[in-house]
Amino acid sequence: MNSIVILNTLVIIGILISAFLTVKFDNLLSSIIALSITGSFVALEFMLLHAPDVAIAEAAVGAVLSPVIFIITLKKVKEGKEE
Amino acid sequence: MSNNRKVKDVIVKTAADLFTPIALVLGFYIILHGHLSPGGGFQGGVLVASAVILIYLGYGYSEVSKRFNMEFIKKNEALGAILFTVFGLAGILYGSVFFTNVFVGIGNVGDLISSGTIMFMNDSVGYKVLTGVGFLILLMIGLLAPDNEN
Repeated sequence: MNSIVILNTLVIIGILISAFLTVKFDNLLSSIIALSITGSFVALEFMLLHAPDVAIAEAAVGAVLSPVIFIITLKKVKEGKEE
Repeated sequence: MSNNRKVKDVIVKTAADLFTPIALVLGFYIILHGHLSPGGGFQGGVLVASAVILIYLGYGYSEVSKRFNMEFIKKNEALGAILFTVFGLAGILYGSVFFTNVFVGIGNVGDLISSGTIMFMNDSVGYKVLTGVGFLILLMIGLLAPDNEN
């Protein structure tokens, strides 16, 4: 089998596992981290499929920006619960 | 994200010092070379704006609010949109329709200044995204401000 095909398959398996863990985790912070890992794997897959333009956007937004916004929101929501 | 952390972590601070210039240089490179290499205004703008997160992680909200002027950033976002429209209207003045590419013949193919107004439109989109996403991040960080250490 072609090595590119094996690499693609591994990355897709990584996407599936991390996306499954995102839904499955009970702790919301762990879920956000798994979502960030999903974004990184999706960016890697875009890179393998020769779409570097989309890969940069996905790496910046999916792996950095949205998890940070989610973590800030989660912290704010938890503080509201404690009061 | 520990709640009452008085002393900043040395490792996080050093990593923020190391990676902030890299994020800034890579982001501005992607904005400037948007018409030649992968990426464009949006991608570079988001990369530059993510440097604000690094500064916040290293130095906390007090330093970030001291360095950035929110009103100035809000006004400059509108400036990016206005610049994009002005470069579009230049097509009506010199060519025929909206978004016509003018100043085409300058420079060789592959040079930085070789694409007419495409490059400047890319830059204005990058400026708008940079200020817009930066303002969004500053707003989100400001939500956490009162229960930070300062």
